[in-house]
Amino acid sequence: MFPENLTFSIAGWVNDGVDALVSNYGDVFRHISDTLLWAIINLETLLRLTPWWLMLAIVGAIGWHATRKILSTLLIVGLLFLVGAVGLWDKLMQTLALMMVATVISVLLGIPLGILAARSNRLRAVMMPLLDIMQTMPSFVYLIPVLMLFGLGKVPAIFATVIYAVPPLIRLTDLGLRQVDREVMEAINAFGANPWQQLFGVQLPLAMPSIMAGINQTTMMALSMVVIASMIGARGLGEDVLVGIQTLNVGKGLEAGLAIVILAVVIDRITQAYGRTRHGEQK
Amino acid sequence: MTPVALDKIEVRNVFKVFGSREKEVMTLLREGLKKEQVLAQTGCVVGVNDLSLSIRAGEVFVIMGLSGSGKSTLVRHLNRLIDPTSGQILVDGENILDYDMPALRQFRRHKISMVFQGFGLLPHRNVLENVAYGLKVRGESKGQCNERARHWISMVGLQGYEQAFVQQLSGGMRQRVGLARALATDTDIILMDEAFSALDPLIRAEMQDQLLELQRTLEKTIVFITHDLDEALRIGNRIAMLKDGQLIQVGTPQEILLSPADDYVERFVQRHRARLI
Amino acid sequence: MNNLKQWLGGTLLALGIATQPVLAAPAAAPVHFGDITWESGSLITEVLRLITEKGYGVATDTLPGSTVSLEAALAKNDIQVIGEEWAGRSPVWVKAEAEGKVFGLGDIVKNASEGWWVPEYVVKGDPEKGIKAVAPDLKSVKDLARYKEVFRDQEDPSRGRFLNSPTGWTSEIVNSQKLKAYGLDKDFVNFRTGSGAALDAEVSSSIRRGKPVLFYYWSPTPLIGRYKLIKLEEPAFDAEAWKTLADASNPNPKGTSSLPAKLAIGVSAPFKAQYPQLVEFYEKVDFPIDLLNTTLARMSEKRTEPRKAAEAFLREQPQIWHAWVTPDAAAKVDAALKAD
Repeated sequence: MFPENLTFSIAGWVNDGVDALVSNYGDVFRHISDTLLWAIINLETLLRLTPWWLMLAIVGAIGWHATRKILSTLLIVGLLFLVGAVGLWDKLMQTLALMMVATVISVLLGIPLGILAARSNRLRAVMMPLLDIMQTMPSFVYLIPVLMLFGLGKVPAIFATVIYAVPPLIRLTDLGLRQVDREVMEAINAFGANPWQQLFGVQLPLAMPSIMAGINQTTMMALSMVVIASMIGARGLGEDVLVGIQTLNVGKGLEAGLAIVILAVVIDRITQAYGRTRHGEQK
Repeated sequence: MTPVALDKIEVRNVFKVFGSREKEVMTLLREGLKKEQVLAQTGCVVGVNDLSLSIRAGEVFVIMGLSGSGKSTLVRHLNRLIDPTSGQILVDGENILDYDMPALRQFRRHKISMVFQGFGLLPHRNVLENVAYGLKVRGESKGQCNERARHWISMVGLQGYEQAFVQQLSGGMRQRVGLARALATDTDIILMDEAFSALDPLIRAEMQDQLLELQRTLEKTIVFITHDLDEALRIGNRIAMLKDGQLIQVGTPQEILLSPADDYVERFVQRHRARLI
Repeated sequence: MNNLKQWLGGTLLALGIATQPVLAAPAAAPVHFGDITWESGSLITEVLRLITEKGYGVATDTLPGSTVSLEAALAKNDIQVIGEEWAGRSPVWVKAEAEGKVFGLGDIVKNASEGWWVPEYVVKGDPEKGIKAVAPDLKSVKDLARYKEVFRDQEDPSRGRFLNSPTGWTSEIVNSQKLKAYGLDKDFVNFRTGSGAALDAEVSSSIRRGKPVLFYYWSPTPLIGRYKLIKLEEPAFDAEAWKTLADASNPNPKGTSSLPAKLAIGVSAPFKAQYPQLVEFYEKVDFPIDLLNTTLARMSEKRTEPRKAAEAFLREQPQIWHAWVTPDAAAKVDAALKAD
């Protein structure tokens, strides 16, 4: 046994902190939450009001634009049709809305943070262990406090998703920028490019394959959080998986699980294809 | 005409120390310690050691030395890609070390351009855009950019390749793009850091000819870095010999060949003679 | 070939000998309790285990699992006891009970209930904290339609939010049917909370901030013990109406209070046959609900381990549990508690 007099616990201190935060600043956090909620709900309403055939057509068009392959496009549309055919279309749209908002927030946070990390070794040294924590900390640990602050439902679900999904984007943005040829940077510097011209004209375009890989990773990880999200009251495909588990309804759980996989495959194919085309243009 | 007016670039007592213990190293250097001794004592690398020289307007000034002699470091001082630890660098009589970032940017955009050993071209842009890069950066109109870029592309013999991407070109063609990019900005000074060293000998000779041909009409001030005496003798009006960050000898090709200042220069010259025989 | 057979035979024999004692002396094997994770279940389980071990000298152990899987395990005698079984709720239990594989012993918490609750300050206000009564006339579920604004759902601001239990719980179906039966499904969002932890967190957070919240909950629980809450009135229990609520596909459910909960100790058939004295003890178990709720509230507030909380309960409330057990067992437990 570990000696008793050497043990200590931060549990009480953390619990008191969370309690105080909820009691004193709870309303402020709820206000932030409501703003975010407005964006999610509008997007969700839009997606759910879009007729299914139009949605399939749009996804098909995006798929074609990304892959330029008839077979891939047909596969993408066909798989989504299948999700609709097992009666999960509405839940698919809810999940999609949640994911899109989470991904957009991840991109808005991840790329600038990645750029900062690439510029400063010191910031990077601080940030990397934090990212490790974000990825390995079991999400329920921060989910419940986040839930107490931001309320039940979509908002804490998005928070949890972003916390889990943003690290690969930050890492790969940082990596992509650091991998830009040193001599290319020296050359554009020698011609008097200002920091803005360096970043947007050269660094970001050259880091794009890496950044796209990061966005791809981020969306995949966001999807893997769908079930956890539903455990705090976010509707969507995760809900059905959860019901499947809790009522031993294996079939229902599998249907919803496969629908999540299909959504992942579709998004993966499209984002990967975009990553590749950018790369191909260089050749 | 006074000699001062003739000097386009003047380097005065420049030191460059890489590492964190700059001040300490500076004292050691003033006490007369050598590069290796400083490295052993402090772990700092001396890039340039108390170097002064002047470069005249319109000449091709070659800086020569073995690798590690500090020539690439020195040339990067001239457009402040590297800042010296101490010393002065005057261009057209102005100390460029006094420039703040915006002034430095203006200086780089209008007065000095550079050609790199590994080309330093933008892989996501085509030849036309690469050549126009310096113009675009300083905010010239798209029409102006294109017109000038096309002119210089044809001057270096690359007509028809305007839309090609860099990866589709051979090494020689890539360096022509690099050269055209430097020429397109029409700066007085062009720095060429081992510009032809990565090319195979035939292409290299061709490029040297082309450079001399262009220089005949352009009369730029060219600072050319090389480790190859043949190249230095062929294109240089004057040659500076560098060793361990110190200047050993400056002179015309003839002066170098006929009266090498020490063993180090002598060895280069002997190898050159041996190759001629 | 012969060698191999001999070798195989020898190995099997060895295995047989190795497993023999376990089969031959089942009394030595510990009694497995289902490791229930909700507070009342874990406390009751630990109280039972302590008395079973110290008073009757029967070794115990726990096995984790979800409610449904524990019930299935009990039917197969993989575990022997479920400390708190809401008997008659789940189809798995009902089927196993009908087949005589499991038994619900005792009525361990009388007046255990479930229903819809609001914090007391929503109806009466709380002058101390400066909270005004926002729904002064809210008494019964019928009044809710008037107060949907009070319980506004931010995700759907034109409606109120009713916090249902997580999807997959039997109560979720009942509550959804109740919303329809009380004509509230248009005015209130049927918000499934996804997990027990999420429901708890949202209710606690709302109460701490003094905000109105309408939620499904059940007793005995620490939450009911800790906060001042008002249970909304529902029509008296009616068995026929209850059937319409329990059936998710019934289009015209009728409102009624929930089936009075019968909390029992679930045991497997082999256990019942093997441990008659324990069965006698389990049948007498009776936790007064208010005491249980406050004990749970204290346990959850101080974040005490269930086993420690159970020991404290046994120490502080002997008059309650002495009535359940033989004088001999009571004396042994008391002695063991003192020894610790």
